[in-house]
Amino acid sequence: MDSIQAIQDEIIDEFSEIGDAFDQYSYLVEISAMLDPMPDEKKDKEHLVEGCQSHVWLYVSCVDGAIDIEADSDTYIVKGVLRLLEDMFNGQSPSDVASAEVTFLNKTQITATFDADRQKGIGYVIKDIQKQAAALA
Amino acid sequence: MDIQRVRADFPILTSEINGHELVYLDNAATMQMPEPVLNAVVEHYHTRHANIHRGIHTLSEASTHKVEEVRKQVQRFINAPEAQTVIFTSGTTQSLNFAASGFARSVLKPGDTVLVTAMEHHSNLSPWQDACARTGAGLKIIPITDDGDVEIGAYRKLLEQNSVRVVSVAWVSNVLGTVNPIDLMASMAHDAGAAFVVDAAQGMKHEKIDVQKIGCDFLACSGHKLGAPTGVGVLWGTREWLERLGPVQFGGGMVDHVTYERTTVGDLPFAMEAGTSNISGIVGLGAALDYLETIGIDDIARQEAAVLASAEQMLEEMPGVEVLGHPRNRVGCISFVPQHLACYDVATLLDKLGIAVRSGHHCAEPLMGRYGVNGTVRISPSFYNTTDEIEAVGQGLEKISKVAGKIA
Repeated sequence: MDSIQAIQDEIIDEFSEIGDAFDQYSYLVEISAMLDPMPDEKKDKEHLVEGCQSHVWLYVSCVDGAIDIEADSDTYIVKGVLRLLEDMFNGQSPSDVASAEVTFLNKTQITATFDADRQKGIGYVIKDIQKQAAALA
Repeated sequence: MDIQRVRADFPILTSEINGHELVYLDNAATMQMPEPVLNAVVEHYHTRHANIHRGIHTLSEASTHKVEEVRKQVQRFINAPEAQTVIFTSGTTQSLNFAASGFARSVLKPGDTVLVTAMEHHSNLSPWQDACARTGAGLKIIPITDDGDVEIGAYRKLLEQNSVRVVSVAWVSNVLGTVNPIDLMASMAHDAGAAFVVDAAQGMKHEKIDVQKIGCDFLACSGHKLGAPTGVGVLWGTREWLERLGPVQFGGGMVDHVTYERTTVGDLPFAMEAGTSNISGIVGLGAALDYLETIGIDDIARQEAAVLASAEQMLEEMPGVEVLGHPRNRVGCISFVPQHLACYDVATLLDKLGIAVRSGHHCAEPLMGRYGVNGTVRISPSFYNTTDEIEAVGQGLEKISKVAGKIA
């Protein structure tokens, strides 16, 4: 399996080849479809990421020493970002996830055009994932 | 009205956003400022910036004179009987809070009832909830039809309870664009012995305003929906009601006499304007009213109506979107719910095409609940918008629907 950094570099390369901001966001919407649907009963308050303006539900577990993230959102653009985070982190060791430096959001300009509240919200999601991964390490 | 000439007055409209010409359709949130307003504010800071009412020096006198001139201008704009009943506030929210707190302090008691409609902005709901919680009065909601019109029969029934002390209603809904029949509702409230408050945040430039004709007791509005800077607004009330409610904020500038034991308050309007007002904002408000009157309220209303009608037609014909409400009379804005994407996604993608609209609950969460939706996308044109811009929105939505098609 590729390292978190290698996957992150790949995401950055892929985004640099997509045209303008509209196309980049359309791409996020498109890949949102690749996120496994979360059953409604799992979308509870306990798993809602605090501080995120879009609703994001997050489950982080460790299966056979590898991180398994299950996430969903009520907006497709955010779902697309969650899909990228799953690509990067699922299957990696909890300690690697906890210590990873997440740079693709800034390097791809994904968050640059998010409004401030959403930028913060995505930050909370990453922080939450890494905090839970650290606890599982 | 020469639309291109009008557009040239708004420098921000030539901006480029994400590589596209800006299409600004978020005027129900805030309208852009024309050059004369920007100039008036700069001129104020260049030539007469000083605190008002407290100095005898020339700059203070000049600032005071200007603020009082704008007060008279507002009086004329809304046809108030006297300028002293025009209170400068920070905006509609503060104006409505002043009214609600005043009622809580001086009028409401246990068993009394306050009425608002089901389509109110939080600013015309939360302050009344608080007023009721503080006094033991009850808050009741005037229902609306699925089309988004007030149910007048239900309103009549609520008034028949004989306990209603105040009715507070949006002139125009900031979500549905419904124009409420405030003249009729005011007269029905008065017949039942209740006061009538108008939240005019969205109503001010869609027709000539006349508080005496409406027959309301209070009217609240914001400058920034009219082309003035943010942070300035007005609470107008009849002298009788303003004096009965009294001030809800205390401090500098509003007193008659102060001892260590007590404060006696001064006359209107100063009794209601504790602290330093947003002086440059008031100057900007004066310039904005001048500007609107120069263009002409009738022409403004006509242009806005034409652009809104084209938006309505475009949305009704657009597959994959559902227009929220079909009120008998709509001005200012239209909301829709996308069927295959979240409102946030649609507004974000439109932004990437240079189109500014608003998504979310628009500070009207209970109304969203009434319709069973989490939010809407709202298009709110102003008189500087064109039908070509609505066409651009239509093209944008078609492009977005292709994106949505890929995940359907």
